[in-house]
Amino acid sequence: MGMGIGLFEELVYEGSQLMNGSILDYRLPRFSDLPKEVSLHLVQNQDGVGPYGAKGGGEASLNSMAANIANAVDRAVGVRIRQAPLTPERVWRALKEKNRKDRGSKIEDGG
Amino acid sequence: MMPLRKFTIHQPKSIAEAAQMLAQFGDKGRLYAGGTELLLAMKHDLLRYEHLVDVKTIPDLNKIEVKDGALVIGGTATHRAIERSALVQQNLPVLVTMAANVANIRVRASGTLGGNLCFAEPHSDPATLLTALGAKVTVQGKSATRSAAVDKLITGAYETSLANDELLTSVAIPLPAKNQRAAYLKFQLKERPTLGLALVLDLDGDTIKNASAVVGSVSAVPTQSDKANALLIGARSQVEKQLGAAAEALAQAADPIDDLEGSAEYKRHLISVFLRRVFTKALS
Repeated sequence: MGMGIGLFEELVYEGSQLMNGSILDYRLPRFSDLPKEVSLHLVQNQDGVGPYGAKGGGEASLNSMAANIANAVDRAVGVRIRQAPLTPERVWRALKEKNRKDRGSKIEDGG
Repeated sequence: MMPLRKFTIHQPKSIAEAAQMLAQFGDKGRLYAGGTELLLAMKHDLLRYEHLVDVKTIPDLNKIEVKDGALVIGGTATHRAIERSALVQQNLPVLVTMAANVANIRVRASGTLGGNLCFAEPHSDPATLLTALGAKVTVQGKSATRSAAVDKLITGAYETSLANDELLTSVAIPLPAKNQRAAYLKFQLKERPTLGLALVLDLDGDTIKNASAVVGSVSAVPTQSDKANALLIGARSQVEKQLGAAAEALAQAADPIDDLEGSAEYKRHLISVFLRRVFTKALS
């Protein structure tokens, strides 16, 4: 679910009309999208109101997923995207913008 | 969502009987094969028919054979049957790869090649590849049979040149010569491709004698450009330098549209990326 938010899931409206109200157009993650290997790190921290500081473990992890993907893209290609989902077109546009700026600054530097 | 409206299914025993039924029902009837597109549209109440003519039970309409120098695929052959056919694997491996990647396994198991072409959904993998391969369809009506190139069958988004009483009985794809190379690649995130690009090249050593590049899914119908095809002819090293110009010509001819799959600008970019990729793949 977190991966869906980070990569695919977005409700598209034209006025008040929902344009992608079926799973033909609304993309959800599939098993084929999953990495072959997932490594898990537990961070132990007393936080919740449950016994011994326990709290629900599912939904909390959703928060970080889209940000993780955005961080990975930044680290890989150097563009910071602040809007989920990170669709291929959105990443392409960010890269184009970065290239444009890089070229611009070179000209300013007299390069 | 509304429940599906009532309709009657008819099961003709022959192509002639199916054509007769289609003629009789006119606008109130439609041919029904795999139903993967048609029933979806009917469920959404975008299309309404009182009669469906189910051609799946017509004997031999799903036959795959080699005849007169062509691979001939019956109208009701499913994508899955094409993918698994030894005859197709031997003669046209590019078609196997394409068929194996249409939509999803449920669609491939019931969706048919004829249905895919005749529904003329703009995001069609088969229509794009078959146009590049120079395939011809055979169409039978109440009183006559005719043959047409795929790009003469598909005339627009969800539009074909089929008359009310006509049905597609088979698709004939010329068997590739030894020096022919073909590849099909697509970019797809959702259920349907954002872009499909097919390339067929006739080689003479390191020289490309003839080229056919077809881009699909980015606009209403699969598109070729004479200018792009001309730029793809010549010595391989020369053509490699012209790929950018060829992609530009192809994008101009296709005139991509903005839709849920992406903006026109992005699709133009994809055409240039995928023309390079499909060129490399065809020659590998």
